Amino acid sequence: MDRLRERLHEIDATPAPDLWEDIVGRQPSPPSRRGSRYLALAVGLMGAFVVAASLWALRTMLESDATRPTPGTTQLVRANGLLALARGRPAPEGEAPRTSLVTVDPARGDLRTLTSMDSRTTPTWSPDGDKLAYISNGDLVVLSVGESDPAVVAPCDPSGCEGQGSPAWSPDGSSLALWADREGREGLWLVAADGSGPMTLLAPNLSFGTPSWAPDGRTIAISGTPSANPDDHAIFLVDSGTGAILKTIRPDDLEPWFGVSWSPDGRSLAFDAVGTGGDLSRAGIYIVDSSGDGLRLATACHAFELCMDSKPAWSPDGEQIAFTRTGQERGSDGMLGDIYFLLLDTGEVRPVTSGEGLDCCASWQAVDMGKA
Amino acid sequence: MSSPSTGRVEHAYREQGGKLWRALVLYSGDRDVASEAVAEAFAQALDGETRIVSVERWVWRTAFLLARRRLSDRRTTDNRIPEQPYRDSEVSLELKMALLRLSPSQRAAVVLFYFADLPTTEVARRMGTSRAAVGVHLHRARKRMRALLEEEDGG
Repeated sequence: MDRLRERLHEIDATPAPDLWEDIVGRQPSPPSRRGSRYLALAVGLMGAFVVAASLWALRTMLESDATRPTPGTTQLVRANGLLALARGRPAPEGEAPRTSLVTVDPARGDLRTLTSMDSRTTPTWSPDGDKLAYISNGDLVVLSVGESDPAVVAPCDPSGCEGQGSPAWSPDGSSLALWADREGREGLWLVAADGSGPMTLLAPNLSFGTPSWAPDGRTIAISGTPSANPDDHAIFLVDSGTGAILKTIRPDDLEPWFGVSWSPDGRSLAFDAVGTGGDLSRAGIYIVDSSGDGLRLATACHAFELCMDSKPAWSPDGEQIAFTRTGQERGSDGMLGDIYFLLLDTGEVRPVTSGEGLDCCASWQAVDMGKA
Repeated sequence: MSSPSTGRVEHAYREQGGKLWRALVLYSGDRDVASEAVAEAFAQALDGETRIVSVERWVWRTAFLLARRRLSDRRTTDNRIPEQPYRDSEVSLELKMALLRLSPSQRAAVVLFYFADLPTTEVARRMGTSRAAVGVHLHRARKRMRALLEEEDGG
């Protein structure tokens, strides 16, 4: 593709206009435009203050609650499990930013850094909560609880593998589904979770979203575009046995993006999307019935131009959705983002992580309450 | 004349403005869209300069977002791409048409990687997406452009 680079650089011979006077002439901003931005910012800050005050009041209330678990117990944690996520933090000058696989106890705020992983991919808990599957250096690996070294389940050898995306466990824990472009074939692939068998292409020519298994294990949802038509953005429901596309959900005026997550009862799908044609003003987390009806906006952030909500993950109890809210860049790693919870009964949005860098792509650990 | 508060932004414009404008012409196929996006992005940078860590990165990302929004608005209002998307002197006709037939994300990835000569990590930062996603966009864009350019060559 050096030829492509060369051909694109033909435009270097075209003189660019000098726009500096126009740029400076736009200062100060027209009130109708920037005024509305500052108004939105002010409203956003007021909202943030109200949320912070509410959280402080709630925390104070909880701390005075006699039913609050005593330190050292994991009762609340086990109700919804730990979150696993990818944490990117600024690196020293001259070094590449590093992304770590971390777990977070959302109730207590405890954070544990486990190992390194690929940025912006989703680490996924096994249904029994004892293993994490994720992408590291392009390879699909599984890390078991109590171990520090992951096992490679599906390597991505550059000679035959163009890329692999975030995995999703089958509800019985036996298989992992993921988007991959391997052996010259792109689509939704399956592999045994213990790496005991070869990868098989389940649904060819599907795009690169993060798949999600329906609770009954019969259907896999993946959002994106068919290889043959990159303008056709949709959510595809794929038969997990045959690879047949059972249903294509094309939400009105939206382009589903990367993330999709089934509700625990299998009735609904949460997904991230932008407006048709890449309209970022409509970016957000949406919910749609698995039938394709009942589309509604769950959450979105519009306070800042570059703010975007994505990567939804439904909690095992069905009451919350964890998602990634990315904002304006700060620091040397370029992006700032944190994990938030959306409380579905009230619509309240709560921050879970914070700090300079990008926390992304959470998944929930489903906890078997019968376990020790 | 520069005031102290405009110096950093003006320096970034003098260093990067022309290259950004050409990148946006490749991305949008429209000089007017490119000019408006460049001017508005730098104007916004002047407006919020003290809050921006890297003016260059911020302006590139904002300008591409603005251009994409402008193209989206135009698609909504008149549902047309420009009749003469590029001028004759800019790039060859087959390359113009191949670029316009990519998805917006693929086109942005191609322009930032092959024209702006940015590494995929930086392309990801400027597109507000992941390196893995950029890899996928580039991979699919290459496949698509290869097919489109071979079609044009009769191959």
